Amino acid sequence: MRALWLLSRLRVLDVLRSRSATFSFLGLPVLILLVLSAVFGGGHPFEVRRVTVVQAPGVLDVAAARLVAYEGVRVESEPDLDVARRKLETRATDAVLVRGSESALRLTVGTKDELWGRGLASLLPDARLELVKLSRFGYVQYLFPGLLCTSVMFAGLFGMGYAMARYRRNAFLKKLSTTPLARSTFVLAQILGRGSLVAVQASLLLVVAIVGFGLRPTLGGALSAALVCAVGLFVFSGIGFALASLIETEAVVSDLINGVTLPFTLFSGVFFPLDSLPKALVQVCELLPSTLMVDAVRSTLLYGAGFRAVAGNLCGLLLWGAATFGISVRLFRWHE
Amino acid sequence: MSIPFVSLERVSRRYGAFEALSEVTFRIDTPGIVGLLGPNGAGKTTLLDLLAGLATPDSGNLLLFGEPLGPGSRYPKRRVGVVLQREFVPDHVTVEDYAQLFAAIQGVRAGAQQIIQLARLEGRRHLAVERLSGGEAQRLFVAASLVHSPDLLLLDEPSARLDPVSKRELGELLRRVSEKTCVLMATHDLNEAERVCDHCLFILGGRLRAQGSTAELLATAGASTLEDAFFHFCSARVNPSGDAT
Repeated sequence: MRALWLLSRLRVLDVLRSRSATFSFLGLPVLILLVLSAVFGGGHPFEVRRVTVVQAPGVLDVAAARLVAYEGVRVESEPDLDVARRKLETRATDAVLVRGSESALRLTVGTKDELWGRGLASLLPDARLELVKLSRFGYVQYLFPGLLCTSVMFAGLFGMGYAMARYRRNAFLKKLSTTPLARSTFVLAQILGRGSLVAVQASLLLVVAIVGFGLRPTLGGALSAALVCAVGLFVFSGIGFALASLIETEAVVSDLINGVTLPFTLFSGVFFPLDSLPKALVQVCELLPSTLMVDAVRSTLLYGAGFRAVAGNLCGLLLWGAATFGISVRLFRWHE
Repeated sequence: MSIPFVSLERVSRRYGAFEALSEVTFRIDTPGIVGLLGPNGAGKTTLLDLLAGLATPDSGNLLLFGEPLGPGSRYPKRRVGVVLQREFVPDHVTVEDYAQLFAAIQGVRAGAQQIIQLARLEGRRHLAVERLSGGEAQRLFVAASLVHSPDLLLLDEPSARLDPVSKRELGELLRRVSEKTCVLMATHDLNEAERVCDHCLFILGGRLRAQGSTAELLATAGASTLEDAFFHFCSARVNPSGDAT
């Protein structure tokens, strides 16, 4: 009985004697609750319904302008009808409004949104409601790029950060530092090793998404997405590398990576569009590398955007990569 | 006069307020096995770290192969082999993987085969290193550190956790290696040191207390075994110059 008590006590102290573990165990859940309540205090992300108006950006159709006044509706422009349709299919938008021939408006919604569509159409006197049967896996398709990016993110952060901290803790880096191995060779090997695994993982996910959930990426879109993922892996490896360079203890690095991945996953548009969040937060979130990656992969994989369309995101990611690797190289130590 | 393998002149190293090494002076001119002896915390690992280029002296002169080591100097990694006190190998790495890696790092073609042969692990090349016995693993680490034929081999307690048979095998391997290479080996095993070392350095409290061949040390201490000599040096008072009184 005493052994039971002592072992239980040791297990508790194992957490409480580590500041990072105590924070992860006790502080982080409370912090998450506070953050989530601050972010979603005004309602859940799907309360606001999106209407995509097929028109040139910056030019708002007179009819569509009427919808802007409603709190529960967000109006966005999309010049390409096919892209707007794909957005509807993947639930990135709830309705597509297009001015057809003879200046008639056509409002397209999914069959499940018929009631809401009729209400919306009643605000647009010259609109004709069109109901379409949407794929049941549309939202899965919307999630897919985010899940792909989350895999890349974890691979980079844990593959580089945790492995580096562990290797240093076990003196494997110390051993390597006594050999002529160049630091750059070691770091590159970690990225290449993880990159190969991520390539296989992503290919497998893609096959499952195509076969099982009706995803239909174009070849160009898939190749562009692969490029974005490669750059993303570089960036998140850099962040992992920077964390491992800043912090010595393997357990603290692990706790910190867990802490970092939460906002990266939650506030990068993986599960819902960012514009559901408070405006100030959106501006911060849009600068996150995870957001840049998710946005670019979604555009290329789901909506067939080409390399040019995501060049800005790629530049942003490369800046992140340069900054994190720059910090890491300055702070890196082979041994404790 | 030939260039010494290792030469230290009044070398000191501190870690914060703790003086790990204090004004250590010695030189090693010829190949052979030099035992680095002393109790825990004496400064043996610090000395090996300095010689392995893992740390730099705070003061004094440290020369390897006649070239000074210190901030800004280029450490001669291709002439030195190192076996750490606790070697770590990532999970699932086989003997062959490990041998190939260190042969490649040192740029030695067919070096993997050479490592496996020297470690006498031909029949276990596909086994994960973590599944080797302590003696087998240590033979592998020593063999890998020798693949580039270093002039200086640094070993930190290589026989710790080895059974008597493995210790003897390791000693025999080191004896063969020491015909051309200077082997500097920190050890707590005084019987092993007496058996294999040509020369010994006694360190206590960061200071070099005594040095010489086994016979010289026994004579100085008036002891019949190195173990008796060890206790003699450990119990003697140390004057500021590091000499035993």
